[in-house]
Amino acid sequence: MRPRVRNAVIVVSVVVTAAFVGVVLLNSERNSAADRGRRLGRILQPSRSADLGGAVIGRPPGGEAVTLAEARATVHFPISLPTTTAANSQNLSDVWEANTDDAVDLNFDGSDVTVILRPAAYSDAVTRYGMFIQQDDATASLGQVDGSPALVITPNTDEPQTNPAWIAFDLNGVEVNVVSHVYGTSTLLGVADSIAGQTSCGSCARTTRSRGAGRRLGIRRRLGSVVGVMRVVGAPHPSRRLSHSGGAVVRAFTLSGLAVASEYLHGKATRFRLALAPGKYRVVATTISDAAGREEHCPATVLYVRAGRPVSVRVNAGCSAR
Amino acid sequence: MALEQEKKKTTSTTLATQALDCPTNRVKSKGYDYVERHAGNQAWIYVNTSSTLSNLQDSDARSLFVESADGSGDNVEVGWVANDGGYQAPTVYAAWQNYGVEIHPRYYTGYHLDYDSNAHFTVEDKFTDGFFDFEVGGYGFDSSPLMSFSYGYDVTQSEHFNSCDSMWAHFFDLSYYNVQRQWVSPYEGLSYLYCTPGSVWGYHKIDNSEQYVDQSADAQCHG
Repeated sequence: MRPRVRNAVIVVSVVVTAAFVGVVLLNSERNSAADRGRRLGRILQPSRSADLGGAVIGRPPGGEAVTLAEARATVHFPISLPTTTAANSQNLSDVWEANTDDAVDLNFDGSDVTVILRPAAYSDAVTRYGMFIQQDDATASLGQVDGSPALVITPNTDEPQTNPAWIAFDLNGVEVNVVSHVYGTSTLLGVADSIAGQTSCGSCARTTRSRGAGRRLGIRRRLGSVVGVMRVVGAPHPSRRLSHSGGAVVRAFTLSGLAVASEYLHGKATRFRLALAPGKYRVVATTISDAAGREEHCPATVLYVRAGRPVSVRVNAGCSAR
Repeated sequence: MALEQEKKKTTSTTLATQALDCPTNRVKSKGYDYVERHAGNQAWIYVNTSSTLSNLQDSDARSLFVESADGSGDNVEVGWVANDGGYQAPTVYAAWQNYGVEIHPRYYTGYHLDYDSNAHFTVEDKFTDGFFDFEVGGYGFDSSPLMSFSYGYDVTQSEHFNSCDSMWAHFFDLSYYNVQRQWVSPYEGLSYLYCTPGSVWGYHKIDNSEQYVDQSADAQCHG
């Protein structure tokens, strides 16, 4: 449930500091997974989460506190520290490693600034961040970090008005997230620039001319849309308790197979609208055919989306039930 | 046996409500499958008795999560909540946090939850593409936007916002959605994750398929 605690930031700061000291690894359970972990060079253990609910930024659930050197030895990407006043090597408070060995959290000055490094879960950052801007309920824009596209999320603009300032950008396949409940996006863009500047162009002669400001781009103007109607073409199978009344999902995929947008159609709803960056997509509609969640796929509809211009389409669902 | 304990607790809670001031107090108890990240979480969740849920001081919720393992706090959540959003009766909801951005719960009134019964909840990224679907009783009722993750820890949670309200919970047939896009039961390694410090309600594991939140001697709450 959405936290109702209004002053969560203050509470988090106090508890996180105390809890970091008191992290205790439990050794009560070891099984085949632990063996798997040993083969990977670590012992997987359940750990007590040092936070308010196992979901506090900068503290991976089940993760463990490590030294910077340990983190660098474990993950398969470089860890560059920022060099700004708000976050630098001198005020690095703690380093956490996810139990899965593929993400690292760096907390600076207590938890005033957190940097989360994780493998990119997208193939194209611009499309990914454009979708966030279009679909999620917070004020966000597409900016730049050291010349690369970045997601810039304004703090306290989500529905509960408690979200942190957040900058996300791609650095050679690693998504760098710079987060703060204390600083605004301008400060965080500076932190992000200082990280990217060290890694992205190590031997290049660089200037700082383009850094810091994080120039914002008008991503909303660049998006197009697909508006359409879904038609269920198959009759419900006798063994299925639900037909289309169980709902349906319309999804858009890039030609490389990356899903970039979806809309759930409740009950007997058939009309949908997908916001998409300009490009070529496959649109697929799928009914939730029965209680077991089996689905019925129809051939995809391939279409082009242009900026600022809706594309009309009709898609079919329920084909395998015919 | 379990229901009897719950009803007994209901009685004492009601008496406590009458006798004591009921301070606002947000408390959670969480368990999780610590072994691997998964793309879906599924279980039966007990819906408490009418006497428990009709006399709530504040909201009362039971839910399943898939929670990002990277420390972003991003998650998707499905379950039921009573006395919230204008709904007194237990009501199905979904919620999520993406890049730190949270939404208010999205209630779904198209599925009736009976008191003193169990309901089957699912949250899954069917195609492991970052879009999670939410289901209750086999009915899909909502889907998330593109999330920052496809795999995360499967989490169980019981939560209340007032000390006089019950957190008694029962989760069973705990299942996860694996990389082969198959449901597997039970969890690989159910473990204690978190409990609000000072809570009298604790995580109580039976085995990898079943867990309570109760006040028994076996309940854990380390804060």
